[in-house]
Amino acid sequence: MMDEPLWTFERFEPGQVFGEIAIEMDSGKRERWQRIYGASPDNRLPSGMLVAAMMEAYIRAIQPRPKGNVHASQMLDFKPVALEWGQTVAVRISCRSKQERKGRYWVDFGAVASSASVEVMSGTIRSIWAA
Amino acid sequence: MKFPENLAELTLETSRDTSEAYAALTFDYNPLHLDEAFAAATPFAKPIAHGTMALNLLLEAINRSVKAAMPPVRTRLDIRFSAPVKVGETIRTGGRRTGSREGEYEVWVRNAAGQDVLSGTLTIGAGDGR
Repeated sequence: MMDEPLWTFERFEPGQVFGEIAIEMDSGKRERWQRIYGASPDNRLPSGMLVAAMMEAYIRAIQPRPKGNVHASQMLDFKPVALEWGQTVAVRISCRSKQERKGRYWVDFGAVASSASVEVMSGTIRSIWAA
Repeated sequence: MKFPENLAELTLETSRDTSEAYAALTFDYNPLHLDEAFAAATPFAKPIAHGTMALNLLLEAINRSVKAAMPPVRTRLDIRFSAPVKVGETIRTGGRRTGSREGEYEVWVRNAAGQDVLSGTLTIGAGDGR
């Protein structure tokens, strides 16, 4: 099998969609979340799990990637929707914009998370891409 | 809607165990977070925690101190990661209401030396997000 080409700055185009990743908020994820942040008081899904899902989708959707990318800033917009553990969240990752500034490759990636076709969060991951 | 003056201060002692759990949670197995030898060859010298690990601690603080008592509400956060967290460091969340509008806070996560590792603004309850 041929290796996929590396995602470099020059390959990104505003509007490009890298795909939608469906992630189940299952018991394994709950156990890992609790190892870090402690137990949830009820069955409500912590909003941080949407951030974790966003990062998983971002990592999985854009591969292979160079080493050394920097997550510089983050915008998040949580919609007034309550989710519970056990539900599935689908996250769509796209390229919003890119700009070369002072020799650095700035890329804004869009993330839109939805569950049962209802948008639950959107965000922008601003990265300094390594290559 | 009643907003407290300050957000809850939550602390997290980062460790290899929290990094491994977070890597499995997010599918982010970047060796910079997990591999001592790899990190030693970078400017960081030691493994650093995933940036969103600190962000999610802040979200926990927001949920516990403000949102837990509310029905679901639109919440916006705009933050910048300003310093790495070396694995093993303890981080602490904080936030205080700004005077400019109801439900708006300046927020941060700091390391044990009091240095911001992330900072930004939080707005709770502005519109329904539709």
